[in-house]
Amino acid sequence: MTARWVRSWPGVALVLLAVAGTAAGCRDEVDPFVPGDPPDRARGARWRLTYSVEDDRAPVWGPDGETVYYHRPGSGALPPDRGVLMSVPYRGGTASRALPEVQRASGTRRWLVTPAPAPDGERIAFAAVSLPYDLVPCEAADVVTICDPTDWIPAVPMARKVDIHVRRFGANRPVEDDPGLALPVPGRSFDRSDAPGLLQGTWVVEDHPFQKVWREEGTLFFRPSWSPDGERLAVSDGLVIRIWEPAAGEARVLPGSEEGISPAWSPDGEWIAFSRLQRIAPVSTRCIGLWNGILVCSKRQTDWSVGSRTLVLVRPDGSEVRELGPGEEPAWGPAGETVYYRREGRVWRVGVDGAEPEPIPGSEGGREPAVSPDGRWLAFSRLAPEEGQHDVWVMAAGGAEGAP
Amino acid sequence: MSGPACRVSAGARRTRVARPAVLLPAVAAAVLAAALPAAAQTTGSVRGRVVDEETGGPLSSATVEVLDAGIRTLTDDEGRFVLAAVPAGPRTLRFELIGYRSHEMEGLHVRGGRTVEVEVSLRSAPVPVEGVVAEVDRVPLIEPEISATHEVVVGDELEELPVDAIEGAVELTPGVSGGHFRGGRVGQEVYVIDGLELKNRLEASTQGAVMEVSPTSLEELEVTTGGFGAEYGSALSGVVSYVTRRGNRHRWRARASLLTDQWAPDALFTGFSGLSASAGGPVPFLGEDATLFADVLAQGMVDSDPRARGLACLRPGDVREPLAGEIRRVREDRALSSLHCPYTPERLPHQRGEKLIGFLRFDRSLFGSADLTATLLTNRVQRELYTPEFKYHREHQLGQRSKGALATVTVDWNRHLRGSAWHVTLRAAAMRLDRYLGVVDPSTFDGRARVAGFGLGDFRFVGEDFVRSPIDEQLDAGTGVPGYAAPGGATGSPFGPAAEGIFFTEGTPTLANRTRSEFVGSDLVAEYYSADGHVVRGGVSGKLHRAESYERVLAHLPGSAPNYALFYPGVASGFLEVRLAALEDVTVNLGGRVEAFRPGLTFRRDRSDFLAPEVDTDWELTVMPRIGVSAPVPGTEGRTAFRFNYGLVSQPPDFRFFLDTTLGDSLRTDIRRQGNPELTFEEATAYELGVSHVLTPGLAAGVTFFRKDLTNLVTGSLSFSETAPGQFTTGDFGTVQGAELTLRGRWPGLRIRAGYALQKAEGVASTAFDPVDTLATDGSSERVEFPLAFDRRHSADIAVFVGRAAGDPGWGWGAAVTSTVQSGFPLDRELAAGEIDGRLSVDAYLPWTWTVDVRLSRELGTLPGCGGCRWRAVVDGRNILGRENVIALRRETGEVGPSIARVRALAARESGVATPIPFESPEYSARIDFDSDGRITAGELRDARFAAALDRLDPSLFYGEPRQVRIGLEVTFR
Repeated sequence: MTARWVRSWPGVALVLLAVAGTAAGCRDEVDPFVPGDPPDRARGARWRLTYSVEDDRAPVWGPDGETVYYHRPGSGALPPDRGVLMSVPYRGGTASRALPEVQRASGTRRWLVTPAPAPDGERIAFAAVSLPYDLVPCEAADVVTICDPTDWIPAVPMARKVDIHVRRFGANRPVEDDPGLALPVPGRSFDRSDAPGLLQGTWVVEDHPFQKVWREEGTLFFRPSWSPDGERLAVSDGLVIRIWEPAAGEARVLPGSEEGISPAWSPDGEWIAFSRLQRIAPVSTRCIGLWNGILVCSKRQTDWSVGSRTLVLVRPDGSEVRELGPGEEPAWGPAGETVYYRREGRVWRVGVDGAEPEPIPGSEGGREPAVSPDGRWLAFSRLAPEEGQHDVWVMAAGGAEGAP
Repeated sequence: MSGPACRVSAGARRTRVARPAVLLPAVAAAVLAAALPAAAQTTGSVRGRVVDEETGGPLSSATVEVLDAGIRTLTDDEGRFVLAAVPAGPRTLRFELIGYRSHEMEGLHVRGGRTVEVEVSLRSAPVPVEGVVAEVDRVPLIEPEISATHEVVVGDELEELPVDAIEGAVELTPGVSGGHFRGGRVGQEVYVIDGLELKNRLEASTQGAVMEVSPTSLEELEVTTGGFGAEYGSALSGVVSYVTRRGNRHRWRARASLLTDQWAPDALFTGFSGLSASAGGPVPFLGEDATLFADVLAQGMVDSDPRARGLACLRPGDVREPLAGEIRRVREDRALSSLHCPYTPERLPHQRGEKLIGFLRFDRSLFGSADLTATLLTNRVQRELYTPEFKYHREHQLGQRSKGALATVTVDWNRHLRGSAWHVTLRAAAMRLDRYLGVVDPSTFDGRARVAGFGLGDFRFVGEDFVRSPIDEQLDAGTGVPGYAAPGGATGSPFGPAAEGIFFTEGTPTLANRTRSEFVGSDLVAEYYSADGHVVRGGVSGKLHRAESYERVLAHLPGSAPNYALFYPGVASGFLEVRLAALEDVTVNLGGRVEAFRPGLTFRRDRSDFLAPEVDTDWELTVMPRIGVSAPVPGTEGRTAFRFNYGLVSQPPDFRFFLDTTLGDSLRTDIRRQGNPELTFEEATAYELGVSHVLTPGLAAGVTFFRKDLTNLVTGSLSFSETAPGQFTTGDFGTVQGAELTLRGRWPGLRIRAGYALQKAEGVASTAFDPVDTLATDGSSERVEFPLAFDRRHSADIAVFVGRAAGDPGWGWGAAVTSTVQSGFPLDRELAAGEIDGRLSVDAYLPWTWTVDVRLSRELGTLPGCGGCRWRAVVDGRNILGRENVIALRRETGEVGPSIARVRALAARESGVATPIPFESPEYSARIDFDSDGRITAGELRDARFAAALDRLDPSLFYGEPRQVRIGLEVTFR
């Protein structure tokens, strides 16, 4: 027997609408598995951003204040390069290659370090380090080296060339086509005027302080730093700061920046901070190499010890120089009034007005500080003593008192 | 009903029956059915006798007419008549003779290829009076004149059955189980649509039926498992014959139904929506008596292959120790436990799919007594294929799309004389079946238009254009298939980097495969019917095929080349069969069939010698005599009948077997590959003996004993000693024997069909080192007999129709309940596909399986606003008791779970992941950083890989269908 309600049009319409509505696919398809975001490890006033067993170095903030760039040796899923430019969310998460087109997973054997995103956020400057010298002059098998003084210890290979590049994010052209500045690193030359015996000349090796700190402490003396207008870069060849305009291709020496390394341009454009290495106690050595009694090589070498490391401010035109006291690896606060820097194995800060420097609580073991654009956070690399490698950390710019 | 009547005389003698007292005296009719052993036709015949009701004397020159069919004849001097070319379905016969009251016999169900026998008594009437109308029942309980073992399901019953596809109705035939007919391999059956033989000759053994038809487009379905007529070739085990509906000549009729489980609770929801609609009626503008019938079936599925346990994971109870202990360890470890069953939705993911079947039939008179029929059947079945290793891949999945189209044109000509009739049928047909298996393009599902859960567009596949481009261009390109990439990935799954090499979350599946099978063909069948029961039939048939096969298993590799073959096989056949009513009540069918095929391949017999001349394949020929005898047992007044059949049956091997097996041939650069084009017919000698008995007027039972001696079976053989490794051979042989019991019951408001089959299928197989061709019969080489892979010992089925579903219009509701029960196959099912991996021992069977399906309907009366429309509510339930059927087992354990060695081997697979993995690494996953120290250590990775291996070996696909409930509405317009 037919129910009364279905005889009425409203009932019919209701049933038909229900059938049509449900059959039209109100229910969802099977959702695929979603792995979810990595957990937020940013807790409290200080957190660790990278956990790799590799040396994570030179953190720097992107202009958006959300991303921290750094470099590390490639391993695992990364290209097996000696230096890979990376980016990672500042609150923690998955790091990725900053320039995947340049550093492909298949491996490019590049050694890219010290990322420096431009203020416009569209470009990035970085340094491409050439491989160190693979041979020390007059040091070879079957060569007998005779030196004066005789207790001289041969030097290890040194940096020889650094290329500074500026590249637009996402560009596909070869790195070599990007604007670049070649920085021959002082330290080795060949003196043809000094040609003992039948030799053509003498090798001249100068182990400058910047070579020593680079070799022994990993100090990134050539670190590029953008001017606030994004038109110029301050870089160091180890002996002097140079101002380079990528668009013009020219680089000029910055007066007053002798022995300056690791420059940092202030956000207001008024100053360039750098650290000056004092060179002391030079030791000169002369060596010759004999092979089966035959003179095959001649070398003059000068080694300097590193004295004090002074934090210095200089006007971009070199018109004024101001010393702020001991320190190195400077970074600017966003207002251009404060300089954060490394000193005595931790991060300090000092006002450009000559205020008393103060250590940042919780920054023990930290170096290479970088302040976020909003001034709230401080990224730095920190040595994991048990591993002998650095990781990147983030902490409150004012310090993380009591942080482990 | 008033006036004279006729009644069903199921199992009655063909001679005039004694009329019960309840019958009105004016007219009596006995309706019997007789036929040649089986029939491949869309029309049947009616034979009978017209007598004077009072005297019993024959009435000569009485007119007998099939209404609405334009077929009529006159009785001969002995009152006998025969009508040929009668369209299948319920028909009305009119008997007229001057001086007698006319008589109409309604509801006479004519079946394709069958002869319905009637006997009518007319009452004299001195003056013209109104005629009488009588109704008859449809299918008799037993059919003493039929020697074949068969099952018939008429169209109305098909509409009531709880099935989504016609295969579900075929499965309800005794001896048919899981697509296997009487212990035969899948593909040993042939499908016949309106008399046209259809078989997926390229890959029937793996793909089954060539084209799918909608149950609502059928007038009748007949499944024959024994005693095939000579008309049938290319079948060792079964014949499935469809007779399609045609439009009514006088008025339009239509029906539509929508079934969906969108309303079901989540546990029952599989995302099924099915729309079925059909309409048929006159189209006078296309010709006098022209009719059209159209049917469409569209099904959309979120999970197109749902499983009883959904996306399952291994539980301790699924496996033996020590693996069970390891699973418990994972589950109970606080850190590891989250990696046990990390993703188990109730439906399988990546299983979207659709089915669309369209059918169109046009009929009209041509000239004289000739009729034209044209049909078009189209199929599109497409779905994603769930593969556990890609379970966590968010983009790329394997999928398959099959598209087919079959067009036929048939001309029927008949001529009726007094006491005899001729019927000649000429058919022409063309078919294309295209199957593509590859990586589904994710854009297929972007903003896809869907109606009732059914997606309108074709699946798109990655690189399909390239795969379909000329093979020479592909080789010249020297690339992999565009869009394909090596599968890999170390992220995206719950196991993070521990999944690398176990699950793939990047890249694509590597398979690109397509086949295309086409034919054009024609056949001619001529029949002669005599009123005294003799029938002679003969015919010839020929088909030219085009077979194309493309397979590229490492499609991402630039250096790989596809296996490709394009060839043109041919098939021809002829038959002659005679039905002799030699002795009273005894029907003898004698037939013979000649069949031939030619692979159409040229090949080098010695493939190690590339300079060897190429050889053309020859025609293979086989001759098959067939004999069938049936008769009522004397003294039983037609209540008991026996039948006997003997015959040779054979089929050409799948064209696929002409090509190489898949063993080690994937990277060959010889693209015109060939396997063994010299394969010959697979053959069998079949015997059967059956007895049927009417227990009560509403109940009949039958038993059939059968045996098949199989020879020339196609099997894969790793023949190392010869020059052609990995070939198929036709060297195996075996036997299938068994018994089938059937039960038929019919009472007012209740019908029951039930069957049980007991069978044993054994064979002797070739092996890698001892192919059967070399097995000596002198005992020097041991023959190893083992159960054939399709040896299912027990199977039973039952279908119960109640109320309106039983054809009783007095009921407001109807119910159809079906159930199948079967024992399991031998464990090593792949033997059936000819892939022997060198092992012969099969020492386990799969478990028993059973399901109960129900379809309930409730009449809702006249649809408001449509006076001619009736509607009803339908509830359709599958596996309503929620049985967890296990339909597959792992070979190495005989269980759904793997061995611990397998799990460990999978976990130990080289991953290339370097540890420790830091937090900031894209490979990092907090889920496997069990101590949350920001680094995944080697130990953590090892534990997680074990859990990933467990998850990878999920047993989801080892289970059968889940419980499902659909609700819907059905509207009919008459």
